[in-house]
Amino acid sequence: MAAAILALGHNHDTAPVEIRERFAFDPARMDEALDGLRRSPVVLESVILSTCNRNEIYTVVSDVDDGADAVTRFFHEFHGVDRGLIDHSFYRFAHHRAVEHLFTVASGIDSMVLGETGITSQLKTAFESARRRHATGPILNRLFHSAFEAEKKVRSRTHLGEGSVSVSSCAVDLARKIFTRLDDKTTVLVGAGETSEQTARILRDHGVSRFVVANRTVERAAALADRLGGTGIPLERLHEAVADADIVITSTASPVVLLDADAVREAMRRRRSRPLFFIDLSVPRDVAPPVRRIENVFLYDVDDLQSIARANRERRRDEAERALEIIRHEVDAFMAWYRALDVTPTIVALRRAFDAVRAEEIERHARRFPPEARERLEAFSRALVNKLLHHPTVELKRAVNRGDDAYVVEAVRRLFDLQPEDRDE
Amino acid sequence: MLESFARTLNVVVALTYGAAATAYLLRFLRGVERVSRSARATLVLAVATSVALATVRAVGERHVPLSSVGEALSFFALCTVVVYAWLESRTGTQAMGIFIVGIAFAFQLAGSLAGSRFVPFPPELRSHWFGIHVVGTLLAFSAFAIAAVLSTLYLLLYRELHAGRPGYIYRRIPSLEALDTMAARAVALGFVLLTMGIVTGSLWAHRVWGTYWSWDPKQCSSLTIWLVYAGYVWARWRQHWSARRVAYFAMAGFVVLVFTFVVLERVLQTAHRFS
Repeated sequence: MAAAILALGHNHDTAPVEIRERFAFDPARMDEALDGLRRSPVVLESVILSTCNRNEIYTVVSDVDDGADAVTRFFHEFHGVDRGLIDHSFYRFAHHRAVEHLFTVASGIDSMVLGETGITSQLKTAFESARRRHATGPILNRLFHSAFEAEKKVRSRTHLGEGSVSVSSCAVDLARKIFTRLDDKTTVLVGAGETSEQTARILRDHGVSRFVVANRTVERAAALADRLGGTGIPLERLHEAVADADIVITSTASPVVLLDADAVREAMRRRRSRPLFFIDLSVPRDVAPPVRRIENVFLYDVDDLQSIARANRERRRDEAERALEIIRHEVDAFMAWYRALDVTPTIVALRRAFDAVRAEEIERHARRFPPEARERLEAFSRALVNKLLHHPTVELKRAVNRGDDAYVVEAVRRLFDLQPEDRDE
Repeated sequence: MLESFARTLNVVVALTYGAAATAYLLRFLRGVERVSRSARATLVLAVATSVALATVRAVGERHVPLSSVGEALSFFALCTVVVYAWLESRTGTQAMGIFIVGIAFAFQLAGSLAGSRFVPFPPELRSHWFGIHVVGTLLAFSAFAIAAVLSTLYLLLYRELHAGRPGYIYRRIPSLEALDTMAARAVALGFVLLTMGIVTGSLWAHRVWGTYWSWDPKQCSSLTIWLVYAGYVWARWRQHWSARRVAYFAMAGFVVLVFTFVVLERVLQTAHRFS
């Protein structure tokens, strides 16, 4: 038996939403959950991470198998779910694999959208909740600190989180490379589709406040305009709306083009060639392809946007390889610290430290004694050190059996200033 | 004593500009838009050593350090990085740094190679007007150079966006609107400074040569440049030309500037030059 780091839970890959939602931890009940975990005698430290994509519990346990059993039981009991049927959705990582899992989660490599970084702040919140509730200790504190450091390195040294991977956010990225300020820009939506509304919402998050919705039926236009906080107009007034717009998003089921090159050229003349950005999400297309060639007009159709998103996804996958290399390195660094919490090297280091003091003091005082006393002096001092270290040594060995050895070691190392040595695997 | 110090400093300044240019190049190649402290530190170091060199020269010569071509080039480099530093703090991006710091490095290198001998300043030229005239004109040229760089970047980004193939440039530099706004600001600043430079120059010419305007080659080229940028101001703010067209204007303007000041200066003899 010995203390171990354990990660147990499930994510979007291993469990469908019907299962994940049954095991989600309500933030309002987080303290209660942390307290519940602590009641198990094998659980020494814990952090609970619960997001819409994953439920995971990170613990330090006094024994891997007993600990995994206790955490799994807790997962089910806390949520009032019978064990058995859905057990297979859980994964379990121990030791350095648990560390590696946490680091990949923190860096967004384990996210549903590769490199998505929202998880980092959620993980920070989870850790803070646990720390405030005194559910963490020296090992998880250090572990999570290292995880956040690893994430920072990944973020600054790779392009993992860069480049949007969905059509709607790629469109918004493009808008932001054409215009700096979006809050003084007008967006016209032609027709109502899921992607176009989503794009409009992201634009609104980036500050766009003027929306005009054009639709064949005015009522539907007004409904969408209400949701976005804009105005609805009939389709007949589209041309004049385009002349005043900066961004035009089209997604109608119209079999014919709604805007041809002549109409756009006329609009450009009226708007004095200020840049105009067309996002054509409809198939068949609403904006005639030759519009693309008009000066200061930027026209992107579904295929254009999809190929940008695809390229970004590929880039992220390449970056993930580099990120994993960084993470492996960070895991090794953490494990070096963690392994130094082993009992045997600590006993050796402790003895060495005491012996160094002993030898130093003998040298200092040896000339006050006759030379023939030297041998007796040595024997005496050795016996004294052995006696002084007897109980600490026994206690360290006992701690291994109890499973709290890591903490005793940590305390001893701190009290006697024992530095961890660089050791090979 | 001061002169030998200036000689050492002259080399050091070229090295710090080189370091800054390298830092910004690496920044650009890695394609991270966020401001890096280390790149900014190299910029601050370049400005600091550059200011130190100008100060040593000013003290040694008891005058604005603009009495030789080398000094003028050095000073131009300093103006450029100072304007850029302002731009960087305003836009929060270092993506354009390599282009502008790169130009400053080229000028500083040329300035350092031109030597660092102190030049006795002709007593008849001693005047407050001289400082304002030359500093104003050189700052204006820096601003025009930066506007040309920003306009080039505008056109490169425009090309990627217009063709529907956002790529290398797209990932590295800020938006079209930002580039256009910054370029326009740089031109406006340069235009005001150049106007001041020409006016103070002519007032000063009146005192030294007894006439406000003598159609000397450099006066002619200054006037040409002034007219070109007056055209930019007119086209952009009165005629509302598109950002793309004024971008070509800013690039062409700088070509004219370099041609008149660098080429004509070599060809035509004039009393109106750095000694």
